Amino acid sequence: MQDMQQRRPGRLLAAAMAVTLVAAAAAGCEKDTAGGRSAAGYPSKTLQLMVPAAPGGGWDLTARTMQKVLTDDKLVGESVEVYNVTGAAGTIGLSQLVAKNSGDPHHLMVMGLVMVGGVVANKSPVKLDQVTPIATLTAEQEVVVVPANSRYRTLEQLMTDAKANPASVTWGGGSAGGTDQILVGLLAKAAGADPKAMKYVAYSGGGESKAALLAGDLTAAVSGQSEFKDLVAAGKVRALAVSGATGVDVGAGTPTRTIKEQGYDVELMNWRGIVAPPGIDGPAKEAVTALIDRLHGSPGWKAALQQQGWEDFYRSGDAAAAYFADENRRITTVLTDSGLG
Amino acid sequence: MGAVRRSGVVLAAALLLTGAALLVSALRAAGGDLALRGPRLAPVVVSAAWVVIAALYLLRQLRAPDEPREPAGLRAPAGVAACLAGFAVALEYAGFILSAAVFVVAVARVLGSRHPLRDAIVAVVLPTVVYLAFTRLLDIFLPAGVLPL
Amino acid sequence: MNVLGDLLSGFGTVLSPEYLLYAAIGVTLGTFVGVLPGIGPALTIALLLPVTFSLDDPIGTFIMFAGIYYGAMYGGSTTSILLNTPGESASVATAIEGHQMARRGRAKAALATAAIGSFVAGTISTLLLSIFAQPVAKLATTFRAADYFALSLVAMVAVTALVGRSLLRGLLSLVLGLFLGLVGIDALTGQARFTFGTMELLEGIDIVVVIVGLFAIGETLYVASRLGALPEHVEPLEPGTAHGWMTRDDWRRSWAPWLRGTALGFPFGALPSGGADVPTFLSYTYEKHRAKNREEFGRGAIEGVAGPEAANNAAFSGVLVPLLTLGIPTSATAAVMLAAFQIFNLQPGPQLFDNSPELVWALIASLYVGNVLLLALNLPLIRIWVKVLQIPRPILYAGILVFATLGVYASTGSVNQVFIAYAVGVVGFGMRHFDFPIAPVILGLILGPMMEVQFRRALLVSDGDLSVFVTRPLTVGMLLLAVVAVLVPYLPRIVARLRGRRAGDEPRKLTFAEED
Repeated sequence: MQDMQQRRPGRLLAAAMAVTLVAAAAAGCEKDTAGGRSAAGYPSKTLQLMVPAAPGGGWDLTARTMQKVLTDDKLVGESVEVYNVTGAAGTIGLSQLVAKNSGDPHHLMVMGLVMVGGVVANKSPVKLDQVTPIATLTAEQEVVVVPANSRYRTLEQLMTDAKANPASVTWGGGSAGGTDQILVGLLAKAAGADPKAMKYVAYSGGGESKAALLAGDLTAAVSGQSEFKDLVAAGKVRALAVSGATGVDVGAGTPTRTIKEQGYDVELMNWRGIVAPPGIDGPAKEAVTALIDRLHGSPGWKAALQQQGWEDFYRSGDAAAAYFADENRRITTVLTDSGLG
Repeated sequence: MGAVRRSGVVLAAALLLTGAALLVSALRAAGGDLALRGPRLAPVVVSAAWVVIAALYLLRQLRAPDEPREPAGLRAPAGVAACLAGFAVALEYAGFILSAAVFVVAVARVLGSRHPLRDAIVAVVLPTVVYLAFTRLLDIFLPAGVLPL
Repeated sequence: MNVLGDLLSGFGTVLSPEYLLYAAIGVTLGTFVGVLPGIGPALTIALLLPVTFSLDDPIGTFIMFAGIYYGAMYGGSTTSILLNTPGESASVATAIEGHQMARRGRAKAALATAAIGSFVAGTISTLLLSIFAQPVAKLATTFRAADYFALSLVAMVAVTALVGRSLLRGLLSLVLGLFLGLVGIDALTGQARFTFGTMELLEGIDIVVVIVGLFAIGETLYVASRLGALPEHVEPLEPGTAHGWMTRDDWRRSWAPWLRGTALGFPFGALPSGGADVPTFLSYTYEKHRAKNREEFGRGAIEGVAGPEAANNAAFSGVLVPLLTLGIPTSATAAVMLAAFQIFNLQPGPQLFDNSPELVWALIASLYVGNVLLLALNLPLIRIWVKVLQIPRPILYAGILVFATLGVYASTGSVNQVFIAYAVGVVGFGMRHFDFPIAPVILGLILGPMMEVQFRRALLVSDGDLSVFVTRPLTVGMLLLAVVAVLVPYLPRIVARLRGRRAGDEPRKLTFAEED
């Protein structure tokens, strides 16, 4: 009996060590056999992609698609890891990137318009101009919809009422300070109304505002272009306008007219992009930009864009830096005017 | 007995003080704006309710204290808490496998284990298997730390 | 409309070896992931989304997702029952009686009633989904903000039974939950509340963090403080179980709660902002109220496991109704599934049933299959699960703490959140030591924000006009229900007064619990 008890743990220990060794060896092999090292020698170690939101959302999907294309198309020799830092429109991830990863080009973060708004609305102590802009990747238009039985047939009718009697129009959309509320603020300004007077009700996620629109709580809902597609096609809601440069079909069968075409000088894209931590410039920044350039040019990325229905919205280098700065200025102004800053 | 009786009163007083502090903070944040549909009313209502209920609880404890409880040993929970704190601090530096392995051995010891060898085996196998399953199969990120994984 | 024919062709699609394999993988993966605290079905499915690109098979993907959901929910119940460490809000109600059963050596019966109840509820609610999808979908678009406020008020009043033995302690727990629910950015205005100037609290305190802290960590600390008085192994094992998992008496007491749980879970799942947690609490309360053997509640009443488990599973079919018919996700899992639909270029909505009937009916058929597989997989596994209780205590709790930390870290990606969970764990230890009930904290955390946000939304929509709460019959009806629910316990006293007797003669009120 004594003997048994002595022996068994010994054997277990051996087995455990074997498992560990095999696992370590397997991990080692993986690294050695992976080929296709990039010319610039970047990345020279595991590339970390931070998603400043929970798994399953648009940023997460962007990062995981990037991860897949980067490794499947052998654009990097090293492995790519995606990790999520949830919270507050991405501002928690933003502050972590600045605080912890300064100067490290192997840490990149997915972000977008929502983060620009989040920095303002949440009064984030860390600002977007602290990080190193790399590129914008994709974008989606916004759509303004009303219930099928609404008396509003055009955007102009809606905006005329919203200006004359702001309390008569209840707007609904995503979280406070997000893309949807930004569009309402921009629309109000373009129509000569006070953005602060707009009655905007925030909902979490597309589902809740959809239900509220159908139940009759809302006059109009604002959302990403694909969100209401089936309801538009089924004739349950009517799309009044889209927010991009050219009209797109959001379910009606014909392209819905843009806000600009209907006489209001507003264009808004819900874009997503990628940034590096602060303190990266010169060759390091060029190497990161070159990698993202190669990603954008790869067949895998083109296929992914098509499958996901993402619009290609690529700018990198100086063009990206200028765009980030412009958006930052514009969004900060409109959200401050809307009483959120 | 006396100490046990007092502990209920001390707890009630601490709850009351916490509630009062929250109420002050909520009122200060509101700055007089307690609109029904504004964001500042609910914190005031909740912390006020906290104060009222805690005050009633304190009165009850003063008049008729709870029956004495079996005294808790505080050394073991404090030891577990210390191990947890160390685990969390070490997690991102030493990596998941290493910090979890040390943690398992330490906590098992605090919880009265007298089988160091058994603990050590578990401490090596469990974190390794979990790490591999998470990072390789589920694609959930865990810090690798100093180990060459 | 030939539901039966459509459904049969759905089965025709699903009952191929390949899809059955997907379903089996889903259920197995779900069960093992669900066992881990903090990692629920929504996170698992979200992490598997990228895998589905390469799979390029929508039907197979959704069959697997449905399996994951059922498996994860059941896995969560397993740890709630065995170790009192629920991983998400929907298994908190199960833990209350389930763990008491396990402590009294009835773990097998608790696990069995959970598995069979899940199966019964899953099957019935899938049947309801097949037949009544369109009418039930109307429910989702009938409720307005004022109605949601009234509904959450009803739920809040109805579940006060969870307050436990002492009213004051229960209320303090509830207020703690309400407070935790307020921390973070206000959903409607973006204003920070109770964040004390920190970034970390902006996002609020996630319910998973609170549950892992209060239960897994709080329980471990409590066990540590009682080490001297405990044996090395956790629970006594079943006394000789000759007659399988459940006794005849267990069956007799379980079937009605299964059915009632299903009746609660299905419609609640179909409501936006519903989900699975509220109906589980309602089911628990209801079973406790109507039980003849009320004194057994709190000491392992099987009805308290059977009802919530059924409600929990039935809610999923309910959740699918607005998702498939209107494209409205009503829970975290549904939101992730919506993302999956979009990856396959499918738009859930009024036209989905017409445009992709094959997919929809295969999905519905896969729910039946998933339920059967869940039962087939888990009944035999019960034998193995209860062995968990034989793991020596130091190792078992060390493992629980590792998994708890892992769950919080993996789902939030932040060590600070891990520290918050630990801090909540210390509070949970204190609550156990001073005999405060835990469940009301979770309740306040779920229902508080719902009540507040819907109340304010209703007022925003109505421009501050309070009459919005009395203009629609639906709202008024539910508010009256809430008032009745408050008054019911006092009815005997009121009746006695009306009859002119002295109040002291009669039972003072219907007590919710022993020391009310």
